[in-house]
Amino acid sequence: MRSHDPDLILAYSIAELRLSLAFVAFELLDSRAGFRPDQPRGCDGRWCGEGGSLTVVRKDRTGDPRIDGKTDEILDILKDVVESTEPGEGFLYGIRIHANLAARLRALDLPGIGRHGVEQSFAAGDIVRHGLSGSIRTDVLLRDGRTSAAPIKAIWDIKTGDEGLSPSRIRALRAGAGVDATVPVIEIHLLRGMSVKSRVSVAVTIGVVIA
Amino acid sequence: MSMEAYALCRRPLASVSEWQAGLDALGLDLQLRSDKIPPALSGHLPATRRGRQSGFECSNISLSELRDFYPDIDFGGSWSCAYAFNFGTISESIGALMAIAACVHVVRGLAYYPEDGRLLSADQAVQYARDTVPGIEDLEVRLGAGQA
Repeated sequence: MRSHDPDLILAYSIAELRLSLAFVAFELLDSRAGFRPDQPRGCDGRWCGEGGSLTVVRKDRTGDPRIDGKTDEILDILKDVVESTEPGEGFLYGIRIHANLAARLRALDLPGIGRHGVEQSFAAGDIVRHGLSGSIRTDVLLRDGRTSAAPIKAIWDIKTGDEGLSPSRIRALRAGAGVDATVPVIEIHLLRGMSVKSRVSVAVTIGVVIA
Repeated sequence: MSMEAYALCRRPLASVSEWQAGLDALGLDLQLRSDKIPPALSGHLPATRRGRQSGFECSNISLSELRDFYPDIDFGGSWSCAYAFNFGTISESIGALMAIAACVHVVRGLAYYPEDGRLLSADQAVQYARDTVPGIEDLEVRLGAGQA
């Protein structure tokens, strides 16, 4: 039997309105996260297989468990960044991925990388301030110790779109950081990051680069 | 994190002042803050825009390496030099877009953006910069200036 109590009717109306607002807010949050209801999820509830996720199509290893483990960590973070970034393509999408990944890596302050190991500027092997004329900046680097004087063990370079890491860039990164050809330069290449399946490859360069 | 782009030129840029004059003529509000350009300089080329650092890395790259590295791209023409640009932050990206546009406009070259596979004539590169910069500025507002 329906109540005709005005207070009760008002309370129902307010509750209905609040529920509607909650659904609107939920939809907005989904939109910002790039959620699509047709995307499949794994048993752990995470997106898998389609837009907003990554499939690793190639993963070179250096053979050094610490470096390879760090590559896996960076890949996991890149996956999270791609999942939480609105699908897109081209120049602006690349900027979004690069900016979000740098911010995430700095915030995580990973052991051996730290905040200073993300986008560090060098000149002839010395750390210099960002923006110094003639300096070279690495994307991510791992040191064998906690101080900035500790030897560099590996350099990662993140690429998006069609571009790869050119041999001259590899040489410039090594020269800038003051390391020799025994230090691997690891290219993590997000091959595609759109509404269809995204792919990522990891290529390791050790030794002299000829081109 | 860094992205790359290239400028293929019929002749090398003569000087910073020639490059700056190209920017000014196009109405692109970027000020180059270097007294050297490649090949005298290789690495970060300081620049500012609206009082903020908007520099980018710039160096010469051999045409043969560029052709070997992007074998599917027909760069055509006879180019006497090529510049490679590397940039990562939002403000650097704006600086690089403008500098590349002015460079290829001055020397009537081509711009190549591997990020989205675009090979652009000088006029197209200028238009690309004009069209893309507002989107980057909008992105900066959304992401927050802290990441720029």
